[in-house]
Amino acid sequence: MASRKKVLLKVIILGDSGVGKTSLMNQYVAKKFSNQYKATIGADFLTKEVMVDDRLVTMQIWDTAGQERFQSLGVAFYRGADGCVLVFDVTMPNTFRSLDSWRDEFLIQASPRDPENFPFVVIGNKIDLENRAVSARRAQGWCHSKGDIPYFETSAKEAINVEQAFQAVAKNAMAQESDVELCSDFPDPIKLKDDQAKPRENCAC
Amino acid sequence: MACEEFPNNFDVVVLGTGLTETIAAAAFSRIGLKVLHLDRNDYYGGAYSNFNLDGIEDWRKANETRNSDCNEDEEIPDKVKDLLQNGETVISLNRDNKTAFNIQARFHVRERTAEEQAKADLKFNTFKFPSLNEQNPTSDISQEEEEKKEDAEQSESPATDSGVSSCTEKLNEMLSLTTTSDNTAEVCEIKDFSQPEPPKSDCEDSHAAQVENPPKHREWTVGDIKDDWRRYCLDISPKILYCCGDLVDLLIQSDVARYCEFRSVSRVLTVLNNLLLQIMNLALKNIKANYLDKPFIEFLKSKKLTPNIQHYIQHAIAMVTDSELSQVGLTKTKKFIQSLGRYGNNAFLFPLYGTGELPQAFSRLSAVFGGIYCLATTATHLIADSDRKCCGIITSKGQRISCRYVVAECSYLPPSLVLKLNKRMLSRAVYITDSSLLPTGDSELSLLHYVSPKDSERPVTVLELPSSACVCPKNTFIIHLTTISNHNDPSEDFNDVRETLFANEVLVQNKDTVKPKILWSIYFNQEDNSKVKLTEDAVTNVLVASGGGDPGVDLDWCVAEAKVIFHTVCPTEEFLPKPPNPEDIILVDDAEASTCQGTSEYLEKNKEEISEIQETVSTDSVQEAV
Repeated sequence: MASRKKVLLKVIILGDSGVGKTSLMNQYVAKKFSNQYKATIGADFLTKEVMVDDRLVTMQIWDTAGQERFQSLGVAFYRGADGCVLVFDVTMPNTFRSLDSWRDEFLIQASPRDPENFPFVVIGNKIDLENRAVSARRAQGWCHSKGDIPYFETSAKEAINVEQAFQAVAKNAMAQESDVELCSDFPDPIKLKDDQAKPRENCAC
Repeated sequence: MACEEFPNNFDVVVLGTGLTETIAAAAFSRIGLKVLHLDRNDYYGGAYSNFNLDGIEDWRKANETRNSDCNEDEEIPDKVKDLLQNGETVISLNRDNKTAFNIQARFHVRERTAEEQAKADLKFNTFKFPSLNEQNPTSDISQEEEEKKEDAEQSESPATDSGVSSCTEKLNEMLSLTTTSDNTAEVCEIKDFSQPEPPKSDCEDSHAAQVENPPKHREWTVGDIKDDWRRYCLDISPKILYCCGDLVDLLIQSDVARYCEFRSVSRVLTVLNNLLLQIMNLALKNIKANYLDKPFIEFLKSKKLTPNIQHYIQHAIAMVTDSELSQVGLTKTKKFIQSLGRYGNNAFLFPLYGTGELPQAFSRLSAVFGGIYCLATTATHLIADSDRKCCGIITSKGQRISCRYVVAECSYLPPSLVLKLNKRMLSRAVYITDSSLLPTGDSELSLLHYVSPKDSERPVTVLELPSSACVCPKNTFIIHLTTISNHNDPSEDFNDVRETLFANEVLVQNKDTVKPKILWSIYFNQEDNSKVKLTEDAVTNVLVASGGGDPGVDLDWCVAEAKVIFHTVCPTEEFLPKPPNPEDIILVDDAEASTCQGTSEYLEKNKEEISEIQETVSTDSVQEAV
């Protein structure tokens, strides 16, 4: 299909502060890990090109920029998300319990066309730590009850399973994308860029 | 999602998340200052917010119970006193505020019958649990939509026409569109100045088109609209951006543009029987000093223009009233012309999902650079030291925060500290309608400056938005109306425009069906808080930001206001310079830091500069923001 549009997927990462959202994103895109991400500073969104079923897809991964810390993510953050990664810390049960409210918050704010089949992925992060407190079975159970959300256990620090988790969200988002393409009957919206020539300030007229 | 305390020290505390405050907050964070940004509401934007259908109902109810009065003489609670140090005093702040008055909202369609409700429930259920049926839940109308889609594609004009780059060219091309008049015309479309297509001389064309392609005669019910409540994005201060305006330039320069997308306002409509004008060229070439202080209308008359062309320039392009001075009219005309050609052949842009997205975009930039955001939290008191200099706040959670400056939207400050220079109210109406004012495809955004023959000094700005602007579901339109208030009841300010442009609710049959039918409406008054300044009683190091409510179409003045606020605090710093690429903003371990180009080093570098500036900024420098 030569004439197919270039695909851009917006994927957002949600979860309590400190579960490793920024680390996961950086590990996945930049292959870097730092213990220093106390509260997110300077994390915006990163883009990565991935192959999904022989198709090149640009994945734009949006961090919360720390605005989740005081429950102050505006609705604009959620707009137009094609996929959502829900993250908890396997050593912190309260971050696992928050998944329900993050999922609900996402569905309310992003209001996707088909909430039951929206491509979520759940990540239990920090499996490299000793003091694990949420079992894989418990997390699996929750994911199953929410319409079989794919579940991945990762370590952003050790780069375990990170690639697989993001690949899964890209794949599932693309599966939805083909539905969406059918209904997008409008031309692409305008992105403001520098390259559009600005008409001269002092034109002759 | 547990709540923690804020750090105790900031450089700047910003109260209110309207556009001016968020631009300023982004600018402060961008150069490394520590910013705490609070809003008393649980949503962003203040007077610039946008809501879905449920949200706007909550907003209406909240405004009914809200109290704008600040009891400045109230006794200071002991727990606040306990947080003060020697010689410090506190000033009580407004905790609550009405953002709108006289709000009336209602549906103009009937409720569903029990039978229809049962049917809808069934459909809703298949939508919620589509386990077996893979079909799109709206498949019963999909064919119709396919057809519509094709229509829309055909009517889509080429997105960019790069040949048009200078105003002169544009104007010359305009000249090729000569005009003829026809008295039967009602709404004329002025479109695509550079396309030398034969001009539609009147509305007969478009009316004929409607007959061929009649709008769907669907009877709407309250339930039909409520089912899609989340798909509506209703701005309480709908605004558009000049393509060559300061806000567009700032969005690009600061990279905040990467957080938002836009649509062109593709049609400028005017209610007159005539079309295009030769005069643009003449008018701009002959900016004569002796007209600058005379009304714009006199300038136009002196150019021997026909009344229709005068009308068009005055109302559709410059959007000024009869008494407006030439200088203003010409400046606006020039800005309009300059804006053509930058993003397609239209002068204005509208943000997808609404104006309310813009403050959130600037907030995000601030957060990316370390700004701390907390909604549903405000400051109850300002703390002033013995020199009447502001040195902190008490939050509504009872925490003392020290800071060097407080930037507050005017409604956060008590009346004794703020002078409101524009003593007037706006009236606004928002309609959900079943069709466009001028149906020629379903993806046009339209601007109309409506001048009532009865009151030419109070024109109504009409902004029509289709579903492609992501503000409403398919087959509906959002129409915003704004005017300066003249009646106690805001709906009365729109009687004339409503009768002229919209279907009469009582006589819905036949004749009026080409006009859009109002399915739902909200009316309200907003106070014009766009020009404010601090009184002499104010403590130093407090800066005030306007609170919206101006009748203009654009927001460029907010950029100027934010710049003044920023430069008052940081006179020598660059205002929102281009940030490094997101890929470069990565914090790394200390070990790596020395070789890293990322933020940590960047911020460190700025810290030094900032501390230098802190020393040079005189603490009692200018307090007025505007």
